[in-house]
Amino acid sequence: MNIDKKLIRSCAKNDRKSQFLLYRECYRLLMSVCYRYKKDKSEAEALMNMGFMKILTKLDKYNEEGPFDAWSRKIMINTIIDEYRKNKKGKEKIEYTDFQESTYDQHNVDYNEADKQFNAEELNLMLLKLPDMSRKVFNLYAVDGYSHKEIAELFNISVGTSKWHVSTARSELKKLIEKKLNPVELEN
Amino acid sequence: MESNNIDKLFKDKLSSEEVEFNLAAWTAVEEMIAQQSGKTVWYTGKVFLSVLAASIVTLSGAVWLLSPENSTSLIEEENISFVHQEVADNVKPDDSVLKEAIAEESPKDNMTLQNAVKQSSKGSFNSSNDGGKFASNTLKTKNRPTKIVPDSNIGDKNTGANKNLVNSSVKNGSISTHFKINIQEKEIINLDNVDLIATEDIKSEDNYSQPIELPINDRGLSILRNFDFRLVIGGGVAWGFRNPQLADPAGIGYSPTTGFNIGYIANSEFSFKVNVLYRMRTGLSYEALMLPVVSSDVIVAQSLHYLDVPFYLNYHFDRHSVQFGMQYSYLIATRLETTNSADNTSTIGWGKTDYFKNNDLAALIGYNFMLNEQLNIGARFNYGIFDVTGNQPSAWETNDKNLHLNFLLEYKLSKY
Repeated sequence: MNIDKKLIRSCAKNDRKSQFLLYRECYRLLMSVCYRYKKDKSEAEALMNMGFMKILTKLDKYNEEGPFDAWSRKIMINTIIDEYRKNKKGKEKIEYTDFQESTYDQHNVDYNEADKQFNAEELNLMLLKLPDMSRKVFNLYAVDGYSHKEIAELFNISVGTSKWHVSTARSELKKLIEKKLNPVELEN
Repeated sequence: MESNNIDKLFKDKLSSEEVEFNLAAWTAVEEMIAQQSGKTVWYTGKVFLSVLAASIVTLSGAVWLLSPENSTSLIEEENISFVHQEVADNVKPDDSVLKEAIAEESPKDNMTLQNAVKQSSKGSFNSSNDGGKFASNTLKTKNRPTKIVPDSNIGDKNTGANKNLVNSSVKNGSISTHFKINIQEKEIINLDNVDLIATEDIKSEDNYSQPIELPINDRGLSILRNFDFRLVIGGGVAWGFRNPQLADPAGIGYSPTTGFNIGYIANSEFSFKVNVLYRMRTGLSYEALMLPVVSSDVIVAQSLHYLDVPFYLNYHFDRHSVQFGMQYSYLIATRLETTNSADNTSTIGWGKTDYFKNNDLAALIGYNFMLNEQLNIGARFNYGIFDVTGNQPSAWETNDKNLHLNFLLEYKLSKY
């Protein structure tokens, strides 16, 4: 995402045309983030808009030397997590204080083949089949580059619980990938 | 290793994924921005600041024109009207120069008339046929006309004498017809400030044509007389500017307008006018028509309906006048006619959308010609300063300004 500094300054001055241009650029990148966290398209779009509003209001705090896409992505993820916190009715039932991921894996996946076979949309559909919390944690850890410690702080869970969610997500995703790559073998 | 592979697979595919832009999503964001921004956007916006600046400049000019030092009352013009009649009644058959001047010049054109009087007075101008009020005071005019000046130029000591002078002027008719009528006008106005008026002899005939200075107290009434009120109707062409990089032709349409015009005539040269007009504008550029489309509906016609408030200064010469000023426009409503491409049904909708800005400002120049006392015709050109389609989803590609040339007919309803 190439964002001109002049455009950002114009947006900060509330210029509507510039805001539209920035939204268009942000939408392409950040909407994909929202899709990974929300199953429903309209919900994802609502999150996108909330995140964009935060981006607009925080433009004065943006350091022009840093990459805008990373900065805007971080705001968007924070928005998603804030929204999750607001809507969370109770604490997650599963808590693992010292979860250790098992090194044993019964699924053998050809990742090179998977890389060729699946596009982003198909992988996204697989993610959507995961339990809500596991999907969020896996997204943060594997795709968005957060550490377990950061995730634990964001969701107010333990590091072990974060690891457990990632492990569970991986296991489920492998199953799904294997099933897609070798549908006949699994059925037999 | 396995874990890293699956993480890498998802990271590589998803972190760089881009979603196709959905124009409809912008509408929701626009509303959020509008709600968050509220009125502050308008108050701090370029439109407001420009309106403010233009208003200050124009009103300053108007105040300057209305100030007593610069305002010459219409009484002067009316005096000339009286003079016109008086001179016509009293002129001798051999005063051919004066006769011609009277025949040719309008009542408002005092210079020629005064010059004619001047010429005539070099000879034996005789006002002995005054009749009526001046019949008993007829004497041959001298070549020493009298100028009436405010007593501030003379001093308190002279006020008593001045009153006498004025009275004696009326009695003995020793002043020119011009001034005699002025004094008559004073009596009609019936102001109790005769003692504020003094007379002095003018040494030279060259001063004869100088405008008569009225006492300050007289001006309250005369200022009211300088207002006029007109019905305005007109129409013309409107067209939009557009991005020169695009090949489509700019939309050209029509712009009928109607409303009222209130004017203050400061003096024989300047007047200040404010109009309140309704105006419809068609002729949006192709992009402006297409931009609001976010569904299968195709816009086939769109018009903008404005409340215009042009405010401008007029510079008059003879029957002509040129106008310079600004025009503020407020978007009352937009009319949208769409045809659905699926079922081919047409819909006409009225309302306001965020696709067009509510406020606009234009520079204004114009020309007016006085057909007669009642009717003026003129043309006015407005050059919009801002892009009126600025809030449209893809408006960054357009530059559609309020640009229109209107021909106007002004009918005088009343004059104080």
